[in-house]
Amino acid sequence: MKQKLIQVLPEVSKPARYTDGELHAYHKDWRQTTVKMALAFPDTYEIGMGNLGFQILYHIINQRQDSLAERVYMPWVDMQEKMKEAGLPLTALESGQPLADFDIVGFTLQYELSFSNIVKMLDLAGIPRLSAQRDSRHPLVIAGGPCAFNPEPLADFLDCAVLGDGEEVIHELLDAVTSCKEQQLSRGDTLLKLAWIPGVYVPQFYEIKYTNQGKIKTIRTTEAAVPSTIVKRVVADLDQAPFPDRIVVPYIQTVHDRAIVEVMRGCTRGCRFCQAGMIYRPVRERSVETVKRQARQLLDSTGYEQVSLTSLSTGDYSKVEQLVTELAAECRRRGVSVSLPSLRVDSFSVKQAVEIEKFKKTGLTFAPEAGTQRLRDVINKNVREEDLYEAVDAAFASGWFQIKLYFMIGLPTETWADLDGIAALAGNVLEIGRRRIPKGGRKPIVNVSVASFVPKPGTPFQWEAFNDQEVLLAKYNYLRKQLRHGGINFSAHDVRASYLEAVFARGDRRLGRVLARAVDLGCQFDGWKEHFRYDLWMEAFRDEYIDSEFYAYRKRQADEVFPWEHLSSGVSRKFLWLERERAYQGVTTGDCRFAKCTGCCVCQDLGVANMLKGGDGDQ
Amino acid sequence: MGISSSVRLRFSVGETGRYISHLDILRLMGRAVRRAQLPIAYSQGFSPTPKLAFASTLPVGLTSEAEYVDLQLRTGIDCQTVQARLNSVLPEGFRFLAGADLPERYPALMSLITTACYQIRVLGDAPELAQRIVGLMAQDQLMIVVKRKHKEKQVNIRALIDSLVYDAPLRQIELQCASGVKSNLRPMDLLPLLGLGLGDVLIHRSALLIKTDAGEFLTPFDVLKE
Ligand code: SF4
Ligand code: SF4
Repeated sequence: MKQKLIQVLPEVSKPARYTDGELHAYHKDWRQTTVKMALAFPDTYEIGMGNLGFQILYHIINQRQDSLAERVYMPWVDMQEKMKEAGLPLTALESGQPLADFDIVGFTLQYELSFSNIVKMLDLAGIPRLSAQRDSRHPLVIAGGPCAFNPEPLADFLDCAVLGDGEEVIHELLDAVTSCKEQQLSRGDTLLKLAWIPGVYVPQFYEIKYTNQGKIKTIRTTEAAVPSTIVKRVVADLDQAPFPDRIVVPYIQTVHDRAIVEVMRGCTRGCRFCQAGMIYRPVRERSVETVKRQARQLLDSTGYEQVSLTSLSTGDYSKVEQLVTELAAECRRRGVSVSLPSLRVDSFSVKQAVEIEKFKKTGLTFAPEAGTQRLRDVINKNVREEDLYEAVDAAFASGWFQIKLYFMIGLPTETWADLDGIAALAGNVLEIGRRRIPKGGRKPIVNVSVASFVPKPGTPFQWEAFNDQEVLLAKYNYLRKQLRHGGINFSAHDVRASYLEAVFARGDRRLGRVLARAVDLGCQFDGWKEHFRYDLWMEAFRDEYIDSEFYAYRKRQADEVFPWEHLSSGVSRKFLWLERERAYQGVTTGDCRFAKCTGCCVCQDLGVANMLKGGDGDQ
Repeated sequence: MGISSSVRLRFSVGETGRYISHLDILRLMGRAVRRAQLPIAYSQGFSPTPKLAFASTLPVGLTSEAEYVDLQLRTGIDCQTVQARLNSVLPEGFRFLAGADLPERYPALMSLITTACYQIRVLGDAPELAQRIVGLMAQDQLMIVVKRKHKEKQVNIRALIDSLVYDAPLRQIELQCASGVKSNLRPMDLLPLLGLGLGDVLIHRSALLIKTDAGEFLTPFDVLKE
């Protein structure tokens, strides 16, 4: 199989995506291993390789005697064609074994626009699309990642989905599959066993009934033994969680091609649009010592020239100053640089950024998200304009000349005044740059990047409507006019892609038919501008008699039964609704990490707590 | 065996390395040097890069057993140790095969190279290839089209070819041609003249040589013995 694949390589773009043999890739013996799992990433090699969670799982599974994990990424379209010509199915990178020969195929659900690629990958692998069509000869098709909190559009395709942190549950899953294999259990019995594992959701054991208006009436279990609610898994102490001392180092440049250490998981800032900030609660930090040790081990084993401290909001790490200072000093001796991917205006001193990135004046990014204080209060984005100006002032003063600002439009309660606010803010930042950068220095550049707000499951805004496409376009045009300045670059996200994301983010099982149809029509790589075919998607909706606007534009009722009602991140629905009410009142909610518990219920219900390692606010 | 602060190494690029671009090989070697914890010298400046000097850029798609790199070290280690330590941390597509200590002063490797040898393995049938090659070599003008920055140019490459023979039983073309900063022929540019496409062959670089004024061909190691 591998030999045949090698023969088509000269004729495809970026063949090194498919060659394997990278440093620290595992090549385990198939005959000596009981359970074989393919980790599948529904996007290109370059994007998938940058995913830390994927690398962690790869490592954990391969550390087990009885199991092996291999990787597979979505082949680019030219490769798909060559595979088709040569009659080759989708194979795993390491062994070249067909995906269909694995016991488990586990997909990463990173974003909604990769759903079509998942279906396409099943097709390329020759694995029957639907769970109902598969039997004991086929692999179990499972999924995890942020979109697993509403995997319903994929419900018919998946055998199970895993909610929350994967480090512990993966072992339980592999153990269960091993024992089912040994006992030669049927497909149905195997799934019943898996449904017993906390955090594992087997969609086929849940029956959805709809009302006459097409809303969900009830979600009921069809088997007595399965739980009525699946609660996410959560690793209580990140210092105890396994972390790879080596990761696969690609031959070719990929996104995040550097050593990545996760300094903490979860964020309790409570921005009301933010799904990650809700579903990954509570905050669990690694200790400074652990982070430094892991960074050291990774640098030793990979030889990377840069280490990145990652998390949802690294600037909020309780000992960020100490960590960065100590790590930067150590790295300087090695000729290695440190980077922080997420800067916060109000918690991260630009001084620190200056300290660590002085040699690369690429550009600093800030995310005020909304243009006025009023709207920032609505979305609970705790950024004050003065702080932002102070931060960019310091940045310009210390040699940066490029600032990137992220905003969202289409947020609940937004008015034109909020758009004016975006323009004013960007203009002020530019003005500060002009004043600050000394004569003869480079001209300041402000890059304004604007995306459309997409209501996400499990957030206080899960009840909200996605803004009308026409209206969004008008807003973009308005902004573009307002921002027509020398020195300001404006970039807008594709409204139609956001619309599709909005449909699928809160979609239910009925969308599975549309998904299948869209893939038949040729949809794939929806996240890639050059491949996104909105027209084909709309055709798929028409063909299946499904109204996409019902999913995107409809404001949900207070008592709406959501498609993900039975899937829990531990954050209570009551809290989310309360937060929504407070949004409309323009009342902000504090960060429970630094002040009192704000009552989202994760800690109480899951028996965990915010864990600020050695920070002053340790609780 | 001398202790030197610079070493010259020869390495191979295998099957899994053939699609790695020169830039990626540079990065890969830099990382290997860090993993091996060799006392490499770094360039000055804000983002220091290890001092590695390569003999040539291997075109993407080729394997090779004749790539050379000079490493400048901060303290003296003998070349065997350097070679062994690097080999223990390299990914599967790359291997160091030989090494030599460098004298204190030596010219940049890249500027020395004049010639390369290639083995071009023909995958399918090519019945007329032998005659075709004889015919080509009898001419004193061989024009090919090369693309340089969106412009197409006709060039006569006859003078760049030292020898071109076909080994029919092995189905292998042996090519020796100019390679280096002064004049250079990329083996794949020759394929159209042979009636072959990129997918029809596997190209392997078997030697990188330095032509002396006396017309002798020396390897980058031989040249050190002069
Ligand atoms: S700071 Fe806000 S947007 Fe960022 S991760 Fe936390 S909750 Fe989400
Ligand atoms: S339960 Fe309280 S302390 Fe725990 S994450 Fe929720 S709001 Fe914060």
